Amino acid sequence: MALTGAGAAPAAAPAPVAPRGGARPRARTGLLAAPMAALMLAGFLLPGLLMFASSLGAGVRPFSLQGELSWAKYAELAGSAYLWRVLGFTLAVSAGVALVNAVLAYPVAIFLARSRSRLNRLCFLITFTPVAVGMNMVTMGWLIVLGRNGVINSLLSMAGLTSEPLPLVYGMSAVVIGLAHISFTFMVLPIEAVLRTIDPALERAARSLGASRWRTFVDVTLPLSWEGVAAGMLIVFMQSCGAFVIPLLLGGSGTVMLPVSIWETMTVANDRAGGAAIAVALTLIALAILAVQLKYFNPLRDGDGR
Amino acid sequence: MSTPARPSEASAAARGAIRAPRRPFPLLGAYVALVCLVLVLPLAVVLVISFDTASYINFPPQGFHLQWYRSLPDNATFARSFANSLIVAGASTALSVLAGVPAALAIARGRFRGRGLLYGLCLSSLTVPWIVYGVALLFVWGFLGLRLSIWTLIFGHTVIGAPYVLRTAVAVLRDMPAAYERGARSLGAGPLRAFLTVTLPLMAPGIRAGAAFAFIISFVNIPVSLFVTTAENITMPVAVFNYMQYNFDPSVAAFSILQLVVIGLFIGFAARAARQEA
Amino acid sequence: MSDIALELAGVEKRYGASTAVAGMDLAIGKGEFVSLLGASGCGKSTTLMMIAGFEQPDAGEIRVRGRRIDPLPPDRRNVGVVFQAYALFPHMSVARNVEYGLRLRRIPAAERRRRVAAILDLVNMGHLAARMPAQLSGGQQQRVALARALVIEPDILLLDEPFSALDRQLRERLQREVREVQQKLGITTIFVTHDQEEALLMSDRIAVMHAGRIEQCASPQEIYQQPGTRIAASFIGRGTFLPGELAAAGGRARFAGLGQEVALPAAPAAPAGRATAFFRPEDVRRAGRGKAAAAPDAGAVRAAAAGAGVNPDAQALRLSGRVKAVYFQGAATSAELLVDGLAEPVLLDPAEWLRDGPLRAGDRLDAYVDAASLRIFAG
Repeated sequence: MALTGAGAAPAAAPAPVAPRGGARPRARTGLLAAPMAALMLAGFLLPGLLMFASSLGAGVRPFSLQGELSWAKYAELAGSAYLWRVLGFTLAVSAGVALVNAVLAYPVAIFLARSRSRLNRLCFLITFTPVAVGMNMVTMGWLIVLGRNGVINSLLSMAGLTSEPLPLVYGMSAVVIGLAHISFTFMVLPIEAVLRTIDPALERAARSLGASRWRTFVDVTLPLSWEGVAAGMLIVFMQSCGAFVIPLLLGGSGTVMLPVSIWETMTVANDRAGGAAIAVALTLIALAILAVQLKYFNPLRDGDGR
Repeated sequence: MSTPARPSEASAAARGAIRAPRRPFPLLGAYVALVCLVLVLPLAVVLVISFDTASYINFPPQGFHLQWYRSLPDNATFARSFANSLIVAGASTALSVLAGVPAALAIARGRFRGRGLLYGLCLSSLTVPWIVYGVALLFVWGFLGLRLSIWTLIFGHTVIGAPYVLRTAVAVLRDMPAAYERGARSLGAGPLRAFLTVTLPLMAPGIRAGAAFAFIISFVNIPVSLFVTTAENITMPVAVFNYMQYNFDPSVAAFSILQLVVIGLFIGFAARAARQEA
Repeated sequence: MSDIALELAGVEKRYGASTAVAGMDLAIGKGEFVSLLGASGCGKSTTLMMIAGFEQPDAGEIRVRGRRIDPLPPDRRNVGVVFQAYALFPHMSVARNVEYGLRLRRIPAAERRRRVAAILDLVNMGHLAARMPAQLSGGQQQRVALARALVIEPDILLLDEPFSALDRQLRERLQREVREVQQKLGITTIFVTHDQEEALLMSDRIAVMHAGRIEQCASPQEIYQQPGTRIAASFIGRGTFLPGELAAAGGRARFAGLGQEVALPAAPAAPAGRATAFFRPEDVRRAGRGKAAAAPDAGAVRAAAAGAGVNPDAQALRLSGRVKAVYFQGAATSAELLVDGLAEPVLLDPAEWLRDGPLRAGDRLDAYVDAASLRIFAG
């Protein structure tokens, strides 16, 4: 299957495939989606609106909102230097995780897409495992590896390379490592998917024209897989922006990210409106990323009816 | 998507013929092995520590015993949270399938205005970070005047899990040639029968994959549960999370390993089905 | 030794238990256009891939101008390949696609531009040099693929079923264009196809392949008129196979089949015993009124068979039966004749009968085939 210049979207796209002649009336087909639509309206849109209302100062009571609406909370947040630092830090860490993963995951994606080794399946399982074991275990694992009494420090001191344990945890690097670990598979999958769509004849053509394996990779494979890399980076960026457990437990006081500050505001400061406001801000960031994704990858594009 | 076939290297066994040595990008395999090692390292370390005799987390471990595991059943929180996690994950996955599969049919097979918008609405919970949704869930429960209970969690997890089922089901339907259903219809099967005997069986692997994924993310989820957790509805990862903030002893490790064992079954399930899709 | 541009000696390729290519020997002269013709799975594409370097032979050698190339990787063989799906780099324009090989050879920019422009003009694509492949039609893409392979001035040009995705009109036009370009440049070419008409049209020689072996390698005329094996006969053109017995008596050969005995003008290569006779539709003649076995040039045949004691009446194979169907195909019409004793209908050209009026299914026809037109194969 040749990759055309129009681009391949890694996300699922619906294509209308209605059996013609004798198919159930179209309106009725749409009703099948009613339960899910209702679920999302009540379970997602409504909560979103309520959260927004709360951030504007409304008190949420059973079936009513009380109080005056005002932008006061937002003004307060905008004036907080602390929060701006947190925002900047969140974006920086997320970008870092996306970059790190892009570089580290690409060769793994090549391996999974091209190799016919039986270890292929095992390798995929291993990349998926961090997601499946959960954030607690990932966090704990890295705490043990990077901690003062952890694996790295023990090995270093046993080898006599250090006299004092290195402070590897509770900092930005630990958060980046932890987040990269748990989002690794989400970088591998889109890249692998795109690599599989590259027509092998393209690489053979380059070889027949005189390109070495490396040149072929740089001139043909890499440019054509770019979309997968971009898609993966967007996914990982978004995940990292919204990450809570890992930044909280692996980061220190100097490495607070937005989700953590939401939690702090809600529970420690008992400021529901404030927490809601920060959550709204985070949502806007997520939507902005989604807009970028839609613009370039268009996952809702209608395919050809078959 | 088909796997591109690579030119294979034949065994060199000819009279006096020199064969060009096959060198895949050199060291690719070694790199991948190294990456896999690093990915597994933290998890392996937790496993090792879960047997430690020390009462605080330290490396290297001081001894080996099963005490942390043995004491788990005595831990009331453990038993309750484990049961809750299973209930919440199971129920929310079932509801996700019940809502998501018909919706997939509507979106993949239907032809009506606003189809794209409907699809967007049904996938909307994928757009925001779970922590944000956790906050929102708290508000909506208050608005509905309901007491926090296990149903709060089931509801919330369904909202975030259903889109995964929907997405994979739509993908499966999109790739399914219409000829199968048309063939059944032309042979005399009504729409429902055609669906039950042809479409649904063909969709099954995809639905299983989506459901397995929804189960896993529900089971391990913390942020969505965080603000609506009570002593009764607490789930396992939240219990561990709470504990971890104040204590850091190997019981946490044992707790987590047990969670991993449960998930282990579903990893293989989801991975196999996900690979078939990719 | 003369101008052998490409030579395969004892080349073999196995995949597990099955043999894709078995002991292949082939010598191709400079500037020759040779087609590898056969059905799917006959090994023709595998052979091409081995020449290009994307597959390694399990045995044998491949030589270009006397030097072995089979140990070399594809990027060092200087072969131009045109793939079935064109394989134009989608992220590069036409011009950049074509100059890709030249860049790798570090040809300076001015020289590159000159050569790219020249080759694009040769394939009539000069005006589209700035376009991207996605903006081109199938035929245009194919021409660009050809230009890209030719501009590097390869020793050998390899084409792997390049026209299979194009519609008929376009295909026929491109066949002529490619052949023209090939002859103009004098480039040694190997062309893989399963379409015999294509092979007949374009080739200097055709290698008919089956089950990993070359059945016959000869000029189109020779393969058509003197097919060496059953497979070559059945793959090129159409015809009828007639099972029977070949007997040799007193220096003369006779074929017995369909309840008749036919004296053959020359002894065929097949040994005596079970044999199959083969003839083409154009060999089927209309029998004159009255004697069904009368041959127009019976006198000449009689003279040739003088002294052989052969019944001059049996210099032809009689075919009588009913018309099964008539097919109008534009320039030509063909018909199928159901003959007693033959399982398959006989294909023939009904022109001689149509002179007297239209032919319908069920009509009785009397026809014959000259003994000289029969090809005899063993078994």
